[in-house]
Amino acid sequence: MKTEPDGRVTFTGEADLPPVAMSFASTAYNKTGSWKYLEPYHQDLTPPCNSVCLAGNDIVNVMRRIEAGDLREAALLLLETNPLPSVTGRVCPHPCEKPCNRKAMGGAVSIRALERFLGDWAAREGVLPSPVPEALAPGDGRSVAVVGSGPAGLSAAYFLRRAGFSPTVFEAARETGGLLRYGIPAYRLPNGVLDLEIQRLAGIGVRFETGVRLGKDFYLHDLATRHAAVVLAFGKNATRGLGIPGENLKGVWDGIDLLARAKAGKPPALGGEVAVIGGGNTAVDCARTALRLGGKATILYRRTRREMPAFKEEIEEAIEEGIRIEYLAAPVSLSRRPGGGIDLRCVRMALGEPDESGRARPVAVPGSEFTVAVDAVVKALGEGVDLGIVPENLRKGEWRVSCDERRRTPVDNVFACGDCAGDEGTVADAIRAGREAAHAVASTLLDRPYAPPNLTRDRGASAEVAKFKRFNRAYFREEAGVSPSHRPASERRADFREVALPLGEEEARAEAARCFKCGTCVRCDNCHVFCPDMAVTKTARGYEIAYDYCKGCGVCVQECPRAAIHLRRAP
Amino acid sequence: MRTDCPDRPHFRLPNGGEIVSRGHLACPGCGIMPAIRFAMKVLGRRTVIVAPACCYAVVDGPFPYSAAGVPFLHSAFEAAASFASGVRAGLDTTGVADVTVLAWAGDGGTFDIGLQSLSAAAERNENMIYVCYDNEAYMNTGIQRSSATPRGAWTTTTPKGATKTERKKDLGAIMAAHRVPYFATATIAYLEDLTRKFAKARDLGGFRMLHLYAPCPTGWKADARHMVELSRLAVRTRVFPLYEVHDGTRFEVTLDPETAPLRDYLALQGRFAEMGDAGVAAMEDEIRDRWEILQRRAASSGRA
Amino acid sequence: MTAPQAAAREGSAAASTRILTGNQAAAYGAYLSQVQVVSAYPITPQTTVIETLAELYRDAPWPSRFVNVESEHSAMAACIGASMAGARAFTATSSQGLALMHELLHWASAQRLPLVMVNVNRALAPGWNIWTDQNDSLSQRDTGWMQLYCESNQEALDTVIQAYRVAEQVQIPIMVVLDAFVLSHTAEAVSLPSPEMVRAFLPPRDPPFRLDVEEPHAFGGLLTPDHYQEVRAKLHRGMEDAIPIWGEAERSWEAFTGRAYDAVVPYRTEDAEMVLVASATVASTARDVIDALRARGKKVGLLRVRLFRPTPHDALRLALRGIPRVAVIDRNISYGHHGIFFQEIKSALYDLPARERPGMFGYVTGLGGRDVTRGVILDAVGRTLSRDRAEPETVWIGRKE
Repeated sequence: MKTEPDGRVTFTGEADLPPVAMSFASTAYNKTGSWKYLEPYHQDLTPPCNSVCLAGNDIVNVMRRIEAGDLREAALLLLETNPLPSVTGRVCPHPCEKPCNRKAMGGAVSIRALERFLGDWAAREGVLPSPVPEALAPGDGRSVAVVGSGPAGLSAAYFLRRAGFSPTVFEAARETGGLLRYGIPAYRLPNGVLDLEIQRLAGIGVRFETGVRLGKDFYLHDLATRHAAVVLAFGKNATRGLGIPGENLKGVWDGIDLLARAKAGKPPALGGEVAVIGGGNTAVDCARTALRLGGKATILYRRTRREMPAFKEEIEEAIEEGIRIEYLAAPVSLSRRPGGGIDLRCVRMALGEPDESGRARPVAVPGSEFTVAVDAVVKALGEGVDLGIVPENLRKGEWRVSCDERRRTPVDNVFACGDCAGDEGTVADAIRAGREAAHAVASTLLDRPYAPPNLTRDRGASAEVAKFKRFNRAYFREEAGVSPSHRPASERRADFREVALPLGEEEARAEAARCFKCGTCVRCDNCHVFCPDMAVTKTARGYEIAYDYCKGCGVCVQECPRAAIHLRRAP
Repeated sequence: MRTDCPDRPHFRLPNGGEIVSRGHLACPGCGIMPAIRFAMKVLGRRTVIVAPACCYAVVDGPFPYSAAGVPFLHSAFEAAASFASGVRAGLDTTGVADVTVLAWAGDGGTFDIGLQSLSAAAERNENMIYVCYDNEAYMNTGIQRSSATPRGAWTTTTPKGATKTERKKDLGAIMAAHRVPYFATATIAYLEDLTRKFAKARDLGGFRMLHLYAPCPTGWKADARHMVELSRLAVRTRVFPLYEVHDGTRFEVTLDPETAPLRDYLALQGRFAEMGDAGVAAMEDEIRDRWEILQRRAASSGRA
Repeated sequence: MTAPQAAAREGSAAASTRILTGNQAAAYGAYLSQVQVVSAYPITPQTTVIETLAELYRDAPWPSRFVNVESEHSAMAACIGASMAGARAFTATSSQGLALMHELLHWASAQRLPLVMVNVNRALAPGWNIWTDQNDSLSQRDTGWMQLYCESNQEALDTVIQAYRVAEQVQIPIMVVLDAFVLSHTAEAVSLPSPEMVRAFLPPRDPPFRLDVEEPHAFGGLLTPDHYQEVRAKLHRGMEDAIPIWGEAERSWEAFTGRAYDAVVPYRTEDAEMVLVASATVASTARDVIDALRARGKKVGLLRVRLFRPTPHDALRLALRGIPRVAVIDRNISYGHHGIFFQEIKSALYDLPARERPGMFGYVTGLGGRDVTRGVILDAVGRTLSRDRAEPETVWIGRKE
């Protein structure tokens, strides 16, 4: 009797055979893998939330860590992509929740509320992203100037620092934060929250210079000579006018100015009937601010609610608080009203053909003019970028700095991101833009071949988005989530304290547990335990399939709760 | 802490490595394998397996190989319980009384040809664990009807147009009538329940029996990948309730998950393709009947 | 005589003489062999074997189990299981019970398990019949079991003990056969060897393989055409080896007890012109007939066949070569052919040179317990001596015409 290297047992003849049918070896010699025509493989898919997060957060894996109670690990993971989680956890319109697969079984996971919970926890605990680049390789501590301390500038500085550079952020205002500090009312984003986030940046070595304005206190040329690179990240710094008679009357306020003064605790006296003109977040914020200052606010918008660019939630909260919205109305002129106040002359609009933005173009209805008597008018039509502060060759059109897809401006080693570079969008979008700019700076200064950032690829996930229909529903129960509670409208309209209330830790963990972890292997062991052929083994990193033995039954694929295993044709 | 698999709350793999080896000859998606694998993890290496003619006797491997990892005695079809009784007596009288004797038989070898020897071993309260893995027909010989085959099922001896008209034997009631110390049903979709029952059986003495529901994708004309799904649906539809019986008198339903429609279970299997609405309704009635009987038994044990 | 034999013989002073039936004697044989597991099922006329054992095992001083199963099939199954675990196992049965065991007789031999079973010969139903004939055991001729046919109660006891020794040496199960009632229920004086003597003759079982968790093997899995034949050839070779080993056991037992039987037992065959061949208790009556005929000057002798399987070809040839006429009395029949001993012996002698090859005469009688009297045996002798050639058809004697 001889045992071959492959485990086979052979006999030379009768003399060699045992007297009875008995075994001398395991069946491991028998490579049953040859039976299969399909074979399974583990491959994480992109969770729908991750697929739409502009900040690029690995939401599902953050959820896993919150669920497990590893808040520090969760925070560190979140800080990998998001330098401002307490901010986005409050003001992001959370597109991540919209495609959430949990929606069908108890409602989408409250991802934003969890982000706020985690961001606040991290701020309270003073969690710094890890590792903090002490040695400063590979950026080697080279200095980079960042102009503007709004979300894009903060993000660019954060990621530059983490890449080993020494960024200095130049801010024209007395305090950092840009739009976050001056443009978002305290009931949505208190300054204390922002301060802690910026403190974290300072904590890893980002330097700030405030009260210095590009184009006045220094010029781009100065920065370019003193720093290895410059990132332009300034925001919208000019309000659009109404372009109608009487817009400079006393009692007519600039929306951005109003919000800034209110946030700084020095609001103008605003009372009586206040008309807010516009349909964006600034308009809604102005109306809610006016309300909190004692006014009775009405928003005038020339289209309908469907076209309003303000976040849906913002609008809802405003209506809850008693704000009136006059749709399909546009101002025609303003005039002083005898005996005080302002006559606001308006015209009715109707929706016509779509314009270049794709929204229906409002058309004035002839003869439909009407006049409203108000005490104040707030102009909130939107803001623009004042390009006067940069050299002419950097301007592209009226409102943006010229830059290519690698965020390079026509001037060597000068990059741009954020509102000034046309990244008009949310804070999350600004975070993405800042990260891209940092990435571009690093590849240029380190002379690396440029490849666009791809977080999905870096995480080893496929770009395919995990669909609920491929999940094994047996592993999930219908379960209602926590809906982040709000203070009652009657109470909140009286002050500037936050509207949304925070989640407690238990609540947060329960909510994170509701997350399906779509398309993401969570080491549930189903593939390992149910494999009839014991072909799926556990490894330090996950699972390994012994294709020599896998018969291709597909049980592992079927029993994977969340579509992280797939079948392909066997070779 | 909550796990994301509600069917296996707090499931922990039994300690120890694999005892059963790869390369065995089970069909793809065989419902026996996860069961024997975890049974062995619970029972450990000081176990002797006795298996009569059945799928598993082939699955374990041809001469000179065996996947079992422990001593394995093939027995005649009708005599697993008697072979195992002899092994028990032999071990006890040669000084190795601490070894577990595990009989591992199919439904044919249990419900049909082996019932006599099984009954006798149960009556003698032989110190062994007898497992019937039930795939509801003679699968090894090519899908012939057994007394474990459910009404309405196709087999090669209850062919198209003449599917089985008789109901399945109530094995649990038969064994309870023997007043054996422990009887339990289990199935692989509910692995925690299954391993817990094996551990319980291991720690008790006398005649202990587990009735395992082992889906056979080959014989049920089902997709191999649905093996665990079928196991789970059998429980959720109450086709195969999970319960245990102590001393033949104390019935307890051990797991009663959210119910699922019978049609979900039937639809995955070609063997029920001929079952019309009336057949489904009759099967539903039968299931309800059996469930009520089980509930009554559990209630009278004070363990509803 | 070796030292242990001498010591045991010394101890044999403790050997006692008891009045025992054949069944009791066989039971004592098993008990003295220190069988560890007994599993059996009642059937007349075997039942008193296990009743006796049940009594004896109530207080057995060594670890033992008495497994009261629900059928003979399970009795054999339990013996197989116990033997696989390394224990010495015993069972007893008769007739229908033996027939029910048939499947597992193959199992035990192909698994090379040294079981010993007492079969009390009883005719098969229908027409229920509890009396002796050999068709039950001879139906199991090809199951791979050794078979020995006993003539006395003492021989029954001795053979069981001898059987364990040989079975455990060659790893082949052995059936010890007793006539129903004539032996099973008839009492006579039997000398019981002392336990020490038996222990010296029969060492504890030391199986070459068993169900051992320290060294796990699977036993009895799929054996394909690639290997089946070779493994079975080993069983056949084991049977062949068993003949000299049985002889050794006889010599050893003789040294301990002074008793020996051998595979075939010739009686007054020197210068015989005709030799009767018989087995079991028919041989006792035949011996009487031979004595009577010798007294009348007839040159006749007797050959008792004790070992039926494996066939003791050499012993048969040696005993019967050159005998002009050999008459075989069979208490059994292979329907449509002949008596079974007859055909076996005829076949064994066929290879003798033509001048030494006896004329073969076969007689079937005594089925279903019909007495095989002196008259019947004389009839066989008369027919044989009166003919030059055997009758071509099966010859029934002692049958009502």
